[in-house]
Amino acid sequence: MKPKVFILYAPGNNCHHETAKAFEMAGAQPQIVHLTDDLIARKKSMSDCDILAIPGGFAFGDHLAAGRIFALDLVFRLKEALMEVREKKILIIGICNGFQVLVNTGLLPGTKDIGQPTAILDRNASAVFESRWVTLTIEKSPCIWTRGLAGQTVHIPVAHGEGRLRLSPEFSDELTVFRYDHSAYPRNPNGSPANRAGICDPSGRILGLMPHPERAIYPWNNTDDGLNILKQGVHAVAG
Amino acid sequence: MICRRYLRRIDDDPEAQMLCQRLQEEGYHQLQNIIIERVYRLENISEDQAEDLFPLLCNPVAEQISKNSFLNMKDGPVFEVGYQRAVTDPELPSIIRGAESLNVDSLAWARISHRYQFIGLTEQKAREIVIHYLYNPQVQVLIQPEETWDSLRPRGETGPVEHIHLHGLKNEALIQLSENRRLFLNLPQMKALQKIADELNRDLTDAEVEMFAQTWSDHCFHTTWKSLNLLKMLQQATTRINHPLILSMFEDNAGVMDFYEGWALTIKGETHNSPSAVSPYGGIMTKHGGVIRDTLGCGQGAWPIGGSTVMGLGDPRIPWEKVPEGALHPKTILLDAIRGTADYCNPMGIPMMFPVYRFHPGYTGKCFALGHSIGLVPSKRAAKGRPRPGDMMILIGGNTGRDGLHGATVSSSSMTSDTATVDAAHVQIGHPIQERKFMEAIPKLREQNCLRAITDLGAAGLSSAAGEMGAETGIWINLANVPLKTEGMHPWEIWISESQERMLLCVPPEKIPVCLNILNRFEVPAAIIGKFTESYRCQVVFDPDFKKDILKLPVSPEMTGEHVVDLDFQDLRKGCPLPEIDIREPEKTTDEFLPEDLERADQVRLAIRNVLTHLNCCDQSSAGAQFDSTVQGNTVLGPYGGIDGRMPNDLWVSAPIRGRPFGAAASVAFHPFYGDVDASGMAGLMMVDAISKLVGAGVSCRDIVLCDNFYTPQVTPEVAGRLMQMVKTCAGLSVQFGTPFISGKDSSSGTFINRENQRIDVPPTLCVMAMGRLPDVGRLITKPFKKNGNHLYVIGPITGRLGGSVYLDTLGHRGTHLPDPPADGLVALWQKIPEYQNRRIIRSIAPVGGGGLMVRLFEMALGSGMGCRINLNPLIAQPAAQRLDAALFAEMIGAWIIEVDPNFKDEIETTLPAVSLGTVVTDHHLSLQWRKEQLMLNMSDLIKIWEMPFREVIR
Repeated sequence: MKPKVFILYAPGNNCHHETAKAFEMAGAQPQIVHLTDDLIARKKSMSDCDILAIPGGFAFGDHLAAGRIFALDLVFRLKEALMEVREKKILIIGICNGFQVLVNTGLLPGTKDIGQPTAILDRNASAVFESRWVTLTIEKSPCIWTRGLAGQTVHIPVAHGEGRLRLSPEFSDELTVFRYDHSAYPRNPNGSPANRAGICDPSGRILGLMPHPERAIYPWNNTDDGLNILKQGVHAVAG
Repeated sequence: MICRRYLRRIDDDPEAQMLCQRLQEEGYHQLQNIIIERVYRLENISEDQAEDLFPLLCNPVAEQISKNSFLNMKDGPVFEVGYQRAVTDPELPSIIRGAESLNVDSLAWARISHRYQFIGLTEQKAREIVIHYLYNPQVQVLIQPEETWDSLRPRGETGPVEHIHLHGLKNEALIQLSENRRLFLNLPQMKALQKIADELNRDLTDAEVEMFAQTWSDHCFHTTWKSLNLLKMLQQATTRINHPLILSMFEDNAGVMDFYEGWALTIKGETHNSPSAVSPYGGIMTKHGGVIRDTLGCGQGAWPIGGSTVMGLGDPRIPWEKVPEGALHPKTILLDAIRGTADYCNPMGIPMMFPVYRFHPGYTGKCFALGHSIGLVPSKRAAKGRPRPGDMMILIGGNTGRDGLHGATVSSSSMTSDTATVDAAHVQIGHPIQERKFMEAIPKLREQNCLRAITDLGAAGLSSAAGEMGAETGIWINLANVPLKTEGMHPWEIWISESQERMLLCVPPEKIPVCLNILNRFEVPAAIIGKFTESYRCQVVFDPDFKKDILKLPVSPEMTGEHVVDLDFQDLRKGCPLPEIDIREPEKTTDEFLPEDLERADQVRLAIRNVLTHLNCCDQSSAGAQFDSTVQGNTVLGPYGGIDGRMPNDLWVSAPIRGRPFGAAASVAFHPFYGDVDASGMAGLMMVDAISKLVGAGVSCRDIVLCDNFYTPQVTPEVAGRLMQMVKTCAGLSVQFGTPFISGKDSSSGTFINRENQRIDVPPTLCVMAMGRLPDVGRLITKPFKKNGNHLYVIGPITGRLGGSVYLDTLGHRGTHLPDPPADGLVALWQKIPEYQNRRIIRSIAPVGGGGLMVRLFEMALGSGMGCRINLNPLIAQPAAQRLDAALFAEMIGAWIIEVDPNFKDEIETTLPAVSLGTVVTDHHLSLQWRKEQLMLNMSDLIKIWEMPFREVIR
């Protein structure tokens, strides 16, 4: 059986189609699931999948803060389902806006309870949106999505206005999964401290990253480096 | 009750820092710091409930929230900027949703404003900054410190339908009426209106008068172009070409060309010049929103796969005192335009194809603001169906407000220093989230056969969209069913409102449940506002008491409530009287300037420096990288490429059918200096430039279609003469090339006149976009150098003509002669080159074009990290060139630089018109040799000077 991936969609998300295609190419069975019409309306259960992906975009227009309204829905309207996802040890990936959602829910870095954010993906140091290709180094971490890939570098795009990851001092650097390969702008496009581009929770199941692996999956996309990361997650579930 | 909450950043604030830095650089040396505070105003909740909203309003990691302002008034002057009362904050629905998540259901309305405190400045200086940089009087207000509001809801007054008495009015009275209602109709048009009223033997309603005024405006009716019969000229050329790939041309919201595997590509370019000149941020957003909706409303709904922004602006470095009274500073327009494009296109999730900014003093009064959108649609859905009597009319998207009233008429008039205040209403703020929602729903509606037809609401709003859609059947609409965002609008305002982010659907009655279900699933607001009838009449009522189910009404319902419009479509089609336009052969410009040729190495070095740092040639990626170019995951070539990531690509390529190698390719040509020299020659060069960019990379010239966007000053006999010549050239060349125009738009309002009678005309402007297809993106030939030792050549039409070049502009001149590549030679070359491409003999390629050979060699080196050794003597020896400056800087449109494997040296030299240039080298430098001189240019030095000028302007 191919692992089932739920790709959550809220109005304003705009990377769900390519995320679905990328997971399909990585060997999974993706399904786009609507936050409002499927989950909040209780037509589907969020935990009825093997992988949960929160894609990029501008959910709810990024109003008030990137990812905030989506996160409030998860934490306050879907709290029980979210607990089930955690209990069933379902893998989660948040890409770009999805990462911002996960940080707003407190699931990342995951050091406090759900609903208590301890980090922020803050306005880029350049104060503008940055659309570029970046090189990332994969760190040694408990992250299931990069198991066996530590030490490698990948070249994939970023596209965001709020990607400067500010963490509380208690954050343990072992949870850093990806780093930009240099501290100088624009190789670190957003001024993220310690060049962090992606982190995981202590269990290693939840990954959030600003760069877009789903935009580098074909040979003609400049690189297809992004596919490996998604494959790793799919393989981990498929066993 | 209205609660207030103040929010501030705990430590750093990049936005405030950047603003402070920018202002200090612009001469506010006393400014020490800026503090920005956000104010929430929340209606109908208690103070306790406001506390419950904490997780919605504040992230404690970086922000702090309080009942009272954090600002100490003693530290410096404070100004608060918010939206006007008539405008709804875009964040409102999200705030209400968030509040509901937190069980605060009573929240009725919310508004957000920003307070700016300027440390170290006087009140007067601070006010100057706010007015120049932070506040747009078209949509915003300065909120006074003690201002208290009883309600946050938008307010407005409604009124009954007015009847306008036209019968027997004398000429002066007619003109007076046109001015009083700001109809922008001239006397012959007013008289035509009077005649219609007389024939109907009744007064016209205000809505009917406004509807005619909108329809007859140059923006909608294209009076100038119609009088000169120009569109027909292009259409006839396209008909004559009879291109097998064309599925639709000049009839739908966009032109359509067949692609592969049952799919088709759509193309459209739309300008939004007048609003962008008055209020660039909102104007630019509206430009993008509008052209994207043209894609969504093409055929039975296409999916946008690429967008562009092409801007013509005045010099952004001029001092404030040089800015004409009544115009904005070009730098303000530039910065707001970049911000507007980022804030609209990024949320839309449509990859940026071309961010192009070109500068010419003629755009100082009225800028050129063009946006393109290309889309993907199943070929069998590329044509609209015909509405049938009984079909339902559904309005989807954002609510209707007072925004954009009189947009169509204002954009057709010349801009004056009064335009900025009197016609304030015609500018609005975009809400991309609304548009993105229905972009997502439309393909689903199409797949479920819900859409008999679909169109977007743009200029003249519902009156235009519903009018066009229903002309073959008749329509009945109850305006009371239209959801409003401004309370108390007049019926005529609802009828012609240009509120953005709305589409109109024609849905068969049996499909209504499926349709509404899909729209609901995608959270797209929708309202059934009327139906298609068999009356052949345009019948519009305003009847809030109408309680019957529209679905169950007879095919042609009766007029009830207030009668807003009741006209036969025959009357509506009655054309606007076209003005008689005199045509005069335009005089040739006579700037016979030709500089002394370059000779010594130091002269060449300086000239190269001047061209590379010219705003039209230098690095613009500091703006372009603010626009998402990789979203949708199909980008093959984005705006920039190469190992440096900043090398401008000459064409954009996407593989839009996921996982398949079929390429959709596009290129743009826009060189504003050429129009000053010779408008007709410019038109031809734009076509050649756009086509050769695609052909060079491997697109067959048989697989290319074109889109035109013209922008000319208000019509005079000379302007009309130029326009005629330009369009004739385009029509003629398109037939010669076999490359048809299938879409386009014209604007004849490129004139600025202010109170001091200062007049600025835009240069005759034409931007051509070429769109093509190619079977395998893996076979594209790209621009960066590939291999040490490969040979470099120039192939194609060599010229020594410097007229209109960037090089002459650096010397303060235009010249008299544009390059004139022979059409037959080009066609022969385009047919010949695929053989060399298919055999992989050509390893890299760049069209010479704007800036000339030197700029392209620099870019090829930049993209590869390599360099080249160039011997210019063979090129100088060409009879057509003869001069060193021409070899370096003549904009040889139609010619390419190619890189060739040494094994094929002989074949290239004997079978193609190839002039040897030199070889590719590993070192990152450009080495030039001519006559007995030589010059070595280090790439890292060149990059430093090339990357600075634009970045310094927009920082």
